[in-house]
Amino acid sequence: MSATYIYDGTYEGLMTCLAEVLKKQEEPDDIVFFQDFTPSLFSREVTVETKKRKAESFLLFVKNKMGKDTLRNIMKCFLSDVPGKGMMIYDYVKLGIEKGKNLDLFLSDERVSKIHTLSMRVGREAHRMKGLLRFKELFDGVYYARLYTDHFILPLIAPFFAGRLADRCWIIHDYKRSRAAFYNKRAIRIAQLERENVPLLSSEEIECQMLWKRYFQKIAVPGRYNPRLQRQFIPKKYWRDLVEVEESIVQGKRSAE
Amino acid sequence: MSLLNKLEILADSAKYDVSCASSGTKRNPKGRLGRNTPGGCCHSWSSDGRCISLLKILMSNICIYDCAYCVNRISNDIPRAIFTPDELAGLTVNFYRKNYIEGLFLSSAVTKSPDFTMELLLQTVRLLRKEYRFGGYVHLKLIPGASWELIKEGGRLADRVSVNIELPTRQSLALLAPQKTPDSILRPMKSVGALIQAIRRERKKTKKAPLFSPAGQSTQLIVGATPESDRQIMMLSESLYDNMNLKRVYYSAYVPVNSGRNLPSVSSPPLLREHRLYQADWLIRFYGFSTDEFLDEKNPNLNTDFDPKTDWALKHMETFPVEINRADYPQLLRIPGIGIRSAGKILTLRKVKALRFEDLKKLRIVLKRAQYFITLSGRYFGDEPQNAEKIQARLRIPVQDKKKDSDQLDFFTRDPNRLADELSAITGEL
Repeated sequence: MSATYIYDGTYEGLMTCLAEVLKKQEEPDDIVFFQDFTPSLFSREVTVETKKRKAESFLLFVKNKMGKDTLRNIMKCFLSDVPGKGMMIYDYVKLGIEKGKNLDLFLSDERVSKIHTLSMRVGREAHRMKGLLRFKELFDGVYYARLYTDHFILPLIAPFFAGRLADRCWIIHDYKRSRAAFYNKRAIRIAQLERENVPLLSSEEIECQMLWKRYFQKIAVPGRYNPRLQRQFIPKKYWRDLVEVEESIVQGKRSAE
Repeated sequence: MSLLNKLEILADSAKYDVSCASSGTKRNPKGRLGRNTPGGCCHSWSSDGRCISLLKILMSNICIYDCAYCVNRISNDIPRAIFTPDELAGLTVNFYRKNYIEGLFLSSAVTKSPDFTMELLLQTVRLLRKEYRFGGYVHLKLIPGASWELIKEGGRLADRVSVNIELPTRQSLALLAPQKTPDSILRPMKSVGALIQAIRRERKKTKKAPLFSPAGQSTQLIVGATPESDRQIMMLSESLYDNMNLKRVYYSAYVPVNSGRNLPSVSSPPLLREHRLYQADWLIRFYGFSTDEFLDEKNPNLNTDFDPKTDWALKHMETFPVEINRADYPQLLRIPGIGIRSAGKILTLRKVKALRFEDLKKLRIVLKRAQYFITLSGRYFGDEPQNAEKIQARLRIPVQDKKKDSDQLDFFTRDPNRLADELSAITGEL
């Protein structure tokens, strides 16, 4: 009887899991994060204990055998929030053992294209949020930004903002997952942050938002009004934390009618 | 006057400038404010669907000139304002910290004199770079007629500099902007272009050489205010790319803001024409085409029904079909519907296998246009025979969507099938 392998949700956990599963000859039924696990009558369950050393040597193996790009793809897929990513990564790495450095050239093989697509989606959302993230200044001078993303992109964008806003303390709050990246002008730490902790804004903040909103309305050329194109670039799901957009789209609609 | 009022007036006056790119440089001062990444970054999109990457703003809209097409001309009765360098630098830094913008795009009407204006712009950028130690992006407009010393300093402080040509010929310039001369515009562009190249060579030898406009220089041309053909415009662009080492030429569909006897009367901006020019521009810069391949004296204007690459292909059926499994990169790029990304994917997969038709689908290459121009291991897969007229009929936009200039806005906003076309106006990929 084959088995479902359960890991603790960490990157090291998944890597330990993959290392152990790939060593066995039989195909797993599934590889899942324990929170996503539902018991089945037809599958044995195996909980894999995370071993840091094992995970590291597995990552090194992948890097040497298949290359840096492969490693980066695996990491981005791990950050994605799609069901079945455990098995997708398993299939990909298994093919990689056969193809070695050529793995990422097999663009039309589903085992590769699925990973590439997913990795691209995660990367794209991270890039998008580098632009759409909005910091608000809190009463104590800390900068706070909230995001509500499809994938867990904090590890991808936090180092970027540590370079961009290096001279302020800031928090980027992944509201969907109750996690946050904290930066104290020296290092980044990712930890739990509950949704209830809604911070107070500084008085200058409102004024700054006001200026930005007005600028945003004035910079559009009325003769080229095209809200559909605008929405194409900023999907609705990102509106909620965007200082400028919602209001002006509503107003734009009114003036068009 | 309050900061809010000034911002309103001077953003309103700046909105007709097209460029907004924040790409092309890498600055990353440690522990300070700001960093640039070579890819650039869009922060928002305004209700006209244009990307907002930089705080695009005028220092002042108080102008001594009276250019017919310009909203800020001296003879217009509009509210006028001028920032102090302190106000504008502070505003930029505030917006940047909130992650609203990637940097500043600073331009100005010509207030008092070119040198006076240029000095005001420089004071602002100096403050940003030296006081705030701002590492974000700065695109600085050079004021035609300003002294070379000031222009040089501008290039040292900014990531990109630009002078707008606006009108593509001497005659048009004389007609609509009689106080500007082609020489006052082209001379600084030429000197700046030469200096950019010299510094680039220098920096290859030693990284200590000072930066000078590391993201190059750009310019803008107004389309549709004067009678130039697409061919005249593209020839100008091509020579700017070749001879003056320009990074980008922007095209701006003429939006009537003034009335005057020398100005054309148009009911809406020629957006489709602008779009086709961008596509043609892309063909020149990235696809290895030259203007005279798709425009000549007999056909001086771009076809509105097809993108310029498809139009070219239909007139050159003898070069097709192209064999996907053998063609080199430049040949692949000439296939309608296959752009830089698709060509790259084909070359990658070809390293490990011969491509079949199904592979193209799996690579998510759109075959709507490409199918008529390719073979795979000798087999043709098009749903029409290889005949220019039949293919043309197939690819033509359905009649109800084919609208002339006056309805172009509708053409862009209503038909969902056109979205891909619209997006390509931004990315330029064909």
